[in-house]
Amino acid sequence: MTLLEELSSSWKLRRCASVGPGARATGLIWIHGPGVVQLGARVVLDASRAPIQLKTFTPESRIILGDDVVVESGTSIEAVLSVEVGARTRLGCFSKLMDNNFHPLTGNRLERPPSAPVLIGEDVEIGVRAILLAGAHVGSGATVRAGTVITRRLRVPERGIAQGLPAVLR
Amino acid sequence: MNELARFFRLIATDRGAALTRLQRGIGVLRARWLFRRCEIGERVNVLSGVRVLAEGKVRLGNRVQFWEGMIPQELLCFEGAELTVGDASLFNYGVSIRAVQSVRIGARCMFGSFVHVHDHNGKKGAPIVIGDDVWIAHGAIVEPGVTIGDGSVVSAGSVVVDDVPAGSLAVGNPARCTELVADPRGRAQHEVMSGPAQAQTKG
Repeated sequence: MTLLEELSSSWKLRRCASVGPGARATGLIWIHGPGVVQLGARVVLDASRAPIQLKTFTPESRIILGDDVVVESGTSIEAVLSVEVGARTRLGCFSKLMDNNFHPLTGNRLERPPSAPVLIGEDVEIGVRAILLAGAHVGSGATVRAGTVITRRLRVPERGIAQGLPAVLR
Repeated sequence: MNELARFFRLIATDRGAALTRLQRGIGVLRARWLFRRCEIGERVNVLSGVRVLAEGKVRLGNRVQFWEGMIPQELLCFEGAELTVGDASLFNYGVSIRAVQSVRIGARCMFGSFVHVHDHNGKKGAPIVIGDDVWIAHGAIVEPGVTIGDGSVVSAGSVVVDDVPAGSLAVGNPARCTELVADPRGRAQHEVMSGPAQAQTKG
């Protein structure tokens, strides 16, 4: 990493509560909201093709990315309560992680339903355009194939492979 | 003049509310400019940017909102096509709507981020009709010729290939429908709350 890259990365990640050594950011990165965003060591945020969004909604919201996490272009993480991503996990292009569905299915659609934290273990592979909704739990070493939607109904075990919509384990 | 005075009083009392008001005002002006070739209702609000093509006939209702986000929305209406959006519908970022024949969207609909509604896929084209109070969640795709009934919900990432009856939940690729128990009282509340003041609840 050149000095220029280092400086631009630290400027782009200035809104994070803590950034580990060697964290790298390219492209347009949006970090907003009153909550806490923590990045581990050597995290790569590669927004060269589409922006990356890390958004928190309340001062208690937490987004925690572990060491060596790779976040590809177009990924969006929205946290009302907490989203935790374990070490060495890879988040594919245009994947979406959110711990709240933001609208209830029936009733007043603009009322925010209760949140459930999203937890992703270590060494997980999240595919392109995968969606992890409120209460999603992915065990360490698991694979979430491209386009899969994981909700609180399906708990992906360690080294499991989830695919399809609605998601099933393979 | 009276309104200007009221605005200055708001700046003195509540800075945050004044800023929100100002953003909303700029959004309304931006919408007037972007949709200058379209028929638009009152207080249509664009919080960041929308890619607009209005070769055909575009009609937007009152208080339609386009929220800000990572990628701008896209509203394309080609020559001879018709694109209608009802009152108080909300569009999150990255929504893409293309009308080659006709796309009709009802009132109080909600479109999540990256929703695609294209009425022509290169080979086949057929009009799309989306009813009132429909919520289409993040990343869902609506295929040509689909009719979605009032009050339905299309879940995140679904691909809708067949008609969705009113008051149902469509899940999957291809989407299958199950019944959704709708609350008529909640619908009225939604109508009350979907004014521009709620735009800041989710960006």
